[in-house]
Amino acid sequence: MIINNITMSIMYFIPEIFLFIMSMVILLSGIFQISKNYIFHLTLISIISALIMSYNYQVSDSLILFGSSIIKNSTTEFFEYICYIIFLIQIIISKDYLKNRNLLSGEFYSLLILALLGCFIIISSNNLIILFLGIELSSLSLYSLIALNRYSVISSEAAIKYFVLSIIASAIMLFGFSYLYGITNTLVISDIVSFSYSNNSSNLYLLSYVLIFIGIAFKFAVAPFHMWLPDVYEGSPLPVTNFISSIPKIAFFVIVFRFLDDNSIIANENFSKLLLFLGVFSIIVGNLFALVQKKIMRMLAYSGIANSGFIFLAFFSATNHNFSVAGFYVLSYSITIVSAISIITFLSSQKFDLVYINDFKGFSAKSGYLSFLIMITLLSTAGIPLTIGFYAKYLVLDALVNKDLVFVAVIVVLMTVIGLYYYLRVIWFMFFETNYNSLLNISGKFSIFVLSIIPALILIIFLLPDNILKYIFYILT
Amino acid sequence: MDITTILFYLVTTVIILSSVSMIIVNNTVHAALLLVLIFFNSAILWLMLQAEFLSIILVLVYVGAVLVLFLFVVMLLDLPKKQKANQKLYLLFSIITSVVMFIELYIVIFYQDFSNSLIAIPLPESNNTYEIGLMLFTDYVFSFEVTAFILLVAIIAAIAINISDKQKALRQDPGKQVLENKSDRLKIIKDDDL
Repeated sequence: MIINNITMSIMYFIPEIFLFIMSMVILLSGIFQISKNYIFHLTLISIISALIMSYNYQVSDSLILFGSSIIKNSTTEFFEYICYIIFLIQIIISKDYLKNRNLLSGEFYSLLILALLGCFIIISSNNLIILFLGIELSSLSLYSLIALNRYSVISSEAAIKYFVLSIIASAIMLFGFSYLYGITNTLVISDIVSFSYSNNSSNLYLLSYVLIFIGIAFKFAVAPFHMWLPDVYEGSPLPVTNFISSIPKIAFFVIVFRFLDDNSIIANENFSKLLLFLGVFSIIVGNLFALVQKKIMRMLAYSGIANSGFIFLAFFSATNHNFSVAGFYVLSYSITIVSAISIITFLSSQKFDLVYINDFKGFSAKSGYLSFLIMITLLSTAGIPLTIGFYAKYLVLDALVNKDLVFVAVIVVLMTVIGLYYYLRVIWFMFFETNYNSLLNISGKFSIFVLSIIPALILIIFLLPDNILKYIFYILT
Repeated sequence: MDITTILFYLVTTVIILSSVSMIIVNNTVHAALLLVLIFFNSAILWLMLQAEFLSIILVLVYVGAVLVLFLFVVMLLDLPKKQKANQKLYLLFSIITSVVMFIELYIVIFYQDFSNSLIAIPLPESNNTYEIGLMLFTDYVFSFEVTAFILLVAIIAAIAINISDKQKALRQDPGKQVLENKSDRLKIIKDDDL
């Protein structure tokens, strides 16, 4: 159903508008220096009420709002709920961390909500202009969130690197958009996807898709375009890293789905080779570079690069337009990495920053429960059975073997086995070494409860993965 | 070749040459002035497409406001001259990459048939500015609003990064000096605490 009337469109867009208004209210409420806690509570309440609102305004069928700018259907809503829940967990965990570093302020939460809003606009965009504006809104907020910690040299360096490289990626993407508009004469993504190109226009169509996917590969941090990720993970405040590692990935998955779904280009030999090459190269680079890292965030960054490679392999193997494997992988990886970074944020809630992997030495003697949670999350990122990460990796490998790419599957498995070393090293440090670091924070009953939600999910979903997979398949078709 | 074709090639040549030299040139003020040249030539391109409002806006906003501000920043910061060392390797790689990319794009675009995407521009019923305003506030109103969000984020970020919460200058506060007492400054640590 297409709704062109602006007032009617606004009615279906209330949760996002509410979030925008609340981000302004939070920004202004930073003026009053009563106590810092009320800004946090205001943010929490506004996110929860936006979640309830978007649940209440659920649409039954696909809606196109604001004159083909925005699309609302069950796909966009499902991914928005996931983003809301991940965002809630990140906010609850990061409160003490921010408070002890003087970052808990109105502008921090306001920019964080605007970044979330940018991701929602990316998820529900139906138009190339809106897509580009959504990308810019979310990434501009993220650059400034990294730079907010301005007394730290490493944060400023990370912000500048992210800013410059991200702008180049956006420019390349915009170049692709402009050619796509030139050939198809339309800005609406669904029309572009169903555009039947003749023989002599297929090359330029392919070229513009390659340019767009270079931009998307940059946002996923896939191997030749991964240079920014380790520095950003290391330099930015942990709550911002937590955001960057999960929510934009979900948003860009929806965009890739929208660009490739029902599109014959995915069967194009050259284009699918590009996805395959990016995926395999990224898995090799990510796993090998992670071996030599001494800092925990850099290690997680390289493991993220390897996992993005798996996501691209899942896109590559999405034959018959079945993106449920890729969707399952993105969701499982996002919740796992959010759990890992949230636990690290929680451990460094006091003044001490958990930077080096050595700091985990003998941690099980200090808190056995928390080290158990870390173990589950790391094993899920590595892809060990009894966790959701194993099932996601198994699905990708299964799809590769079905495509008669056994050689690629063998390389990928070998690299994953090499990658086990750096995950197991952390677990070894926690359980089999002594001399624990007494500066790590382990107090906070509610936070520990929140932290245990995702590891519990990781274990539960492993028992019934088919139901989740079927649900994602149903959502995506 | 009619006069507009000659003008088009002249303008685009100037744009390309000045863009390249803007990157290469060492002096920041020269670079900013070359950017002015690029904007003026782009404005001529807009004029040739009969988009006179956009071309005037380009000159007014970019040359009139943004670049003047940029020149002020350059003058006030008094930047040191760029170091010339260690640039040759980067130059070699960038030339190779850009030549390869240029050839690729040229091959693809040269053989492209744009004929079915050529549409006659409907002549505006009233003036150009009116039509642009109408489009912005009807069909593209959502894009327009999101652009406003982005500008807002830029303002918030610029202020939040530069706001100074610490008193940097050293000065005496007599009230605080009077209220200070011994326990704030001295802490006695006994041996068995250590």
